[in-house]
Amino acid sequence: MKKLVIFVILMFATLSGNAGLAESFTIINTGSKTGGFNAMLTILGKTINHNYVQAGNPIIGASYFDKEVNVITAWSTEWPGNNPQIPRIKVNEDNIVALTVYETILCSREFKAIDSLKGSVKIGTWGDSPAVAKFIKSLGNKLGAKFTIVPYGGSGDIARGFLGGDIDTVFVTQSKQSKIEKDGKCIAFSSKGELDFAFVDAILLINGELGNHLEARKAMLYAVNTEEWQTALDGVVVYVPNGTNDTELLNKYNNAVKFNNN
Amino acid sequence: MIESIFWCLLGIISGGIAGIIPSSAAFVAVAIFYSVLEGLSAFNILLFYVAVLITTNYTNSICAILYGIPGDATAIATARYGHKFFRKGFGHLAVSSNAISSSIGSIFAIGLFIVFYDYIYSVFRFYNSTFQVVIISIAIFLITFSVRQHILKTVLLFVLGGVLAKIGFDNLTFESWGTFGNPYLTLGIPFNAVMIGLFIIPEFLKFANLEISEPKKITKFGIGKNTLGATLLGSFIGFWSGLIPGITNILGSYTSAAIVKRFFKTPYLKCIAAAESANNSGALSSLLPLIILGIPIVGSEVLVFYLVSSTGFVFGLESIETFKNILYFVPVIIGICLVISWAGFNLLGTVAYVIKEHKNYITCVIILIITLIAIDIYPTKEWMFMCIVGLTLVGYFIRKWDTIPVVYGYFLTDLFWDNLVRTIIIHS
Repeated sequence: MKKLVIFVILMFATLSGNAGLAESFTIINTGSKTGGFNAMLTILGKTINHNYVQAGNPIIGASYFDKEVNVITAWSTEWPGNNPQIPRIKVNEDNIVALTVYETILCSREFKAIDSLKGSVKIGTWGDSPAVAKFIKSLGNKLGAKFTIVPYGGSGDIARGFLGGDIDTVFVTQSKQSKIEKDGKCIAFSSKGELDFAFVDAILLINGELGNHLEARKAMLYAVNTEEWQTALDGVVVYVPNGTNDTELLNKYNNAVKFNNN
Repeated sequence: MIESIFWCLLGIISGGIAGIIPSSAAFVAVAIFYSVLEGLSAFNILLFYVAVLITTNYTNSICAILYGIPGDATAIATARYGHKFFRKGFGHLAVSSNAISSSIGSIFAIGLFIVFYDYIYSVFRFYNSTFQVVIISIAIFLITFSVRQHILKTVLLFVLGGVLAKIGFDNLTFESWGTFGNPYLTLGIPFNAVMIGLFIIPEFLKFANLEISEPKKITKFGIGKNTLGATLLGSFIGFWSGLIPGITNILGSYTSAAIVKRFFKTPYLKCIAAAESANNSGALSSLLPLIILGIPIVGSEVLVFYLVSSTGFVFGLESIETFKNILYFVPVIIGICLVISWAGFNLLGTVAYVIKEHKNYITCVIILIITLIAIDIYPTKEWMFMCIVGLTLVGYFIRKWDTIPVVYGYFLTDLFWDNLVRTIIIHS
């Protein structure tokens, strides 16, 4: 019964709240409805007053950048890649809200340790990611394994492909581990390795009005510590600029862009 | 218990309303109540969602039968065959049969789930790319040969759908295709524009010259004559199609109807039965990947996933234990939906007289409303407007064709291509 009362109160509060407040931020999801960007931005959105736009890709997303102020968006360091239609976003200490670094893992049915990956191995990865391709190539050379890359749309798709028996091994982010572990063994892998800077995305504030980057960072810190974030985005390490690490984060971002676009 | 009943009823009400609004369905119903659902137990969130899911399928179909407009892609077959029945004065039979077949479809899905419970983890073999290529190929084959027009026209329309879907930015390769440097084309051709311009407009133009007979009221429920076989076939196909990401119950409903149309005698009412049972069966089976693996495979499930995750709940095989009591609510939801179908149709059926008198005006108003909704929900509104206008012109010129292959070409081609590429890589 308590929940019912809370429901009625919440409904009135939501309605009256929405009627009285204008949205301060526009959150633009440049990723898919089921991907990691959507997860991060949805949870972040709960901590600030905003209008949410499901753009679906960076080109549609970028079409809002000139039209709106206080745009919060997730931006991949793999963009623009070879696509001239994706704009190159200028990133500086003022517009970074957070850097997200993914703990990556390798999971397999047959291989219980990284050294046992030998011979011909079909590996599932996301998209045509240059960072992943470089990682797999260097890993293959190191281990003497011949990897055949099977591309999927995202780490959720890779998990499904693995469960469907398409591939021997998967390379995914940590957050998918619990699903895959039911059918295989997972080896926590890269986030501290030599390519750790490659698997980086940024949450940016575009056309931010004075002081709003601080509000966005505060909201980010709050969101990261919620149970929802911890459950849905297990393994995503988040760095928020705090005045002492700004240059370091900017360098990390630029290195990732350079690595992914060469 | 009382609290769960409340959320179940709220799910039924919001699902009922969302089903009536074109292009909305379960996603909108969950999105509207998102902030209200936060903080509920995982059980009540999923119960709300199941109620929404089942109810939208019922109300969606009533509107499809009455107006010939599918609320979403899952109701295309019902709109096509059901509206023909309605025009001939047998709308009551279409709605009644649809309601019964939908209920059987839902119960069938639950029954199949219980039978296969011990092997539940094996259902994820459905994620195999090779298997999906085979399933999609069969579906394409069935669609191609079930449409009664010259095969070249069907193939042309299917390819057109595929090309329209392919235009724009590819999230797999991060590259654009078919855009010729035009920033608008990079946005892709939105599905709603394809649906309105190339399916709804030609359908309306086809129906424009047909007279509307006086609709009869539903006085009793009964399954249409000899539709049980089609219903069971639809339930079976729908259940397995529901497990395939990207197509779920959309393909299940159309494939079932196509099979029935091809191989059954006097098929129209049976097509509705097959499509609707597949729809409901598939809607429930599509929940399994979410519950067991925490992998959402449709947009509305993503919202449910976040809501449930925010309670700290971790999805897994053992989740079934937490949610199994929802099964007791399903018959209640179905019972209420049957009443809604009956009352809703009899109530909305009176609208038929108005439709008869002002057919052309009402047609224009309905198209205008769905166009405005489509434009309003799309981020770049002028582009949606241009696409609808352009595709409507194309739709007008091909109004005498059966344009349904465009819709299926649109969402099957990408899926087929991605799976085919993977299959070739895997087996080469």
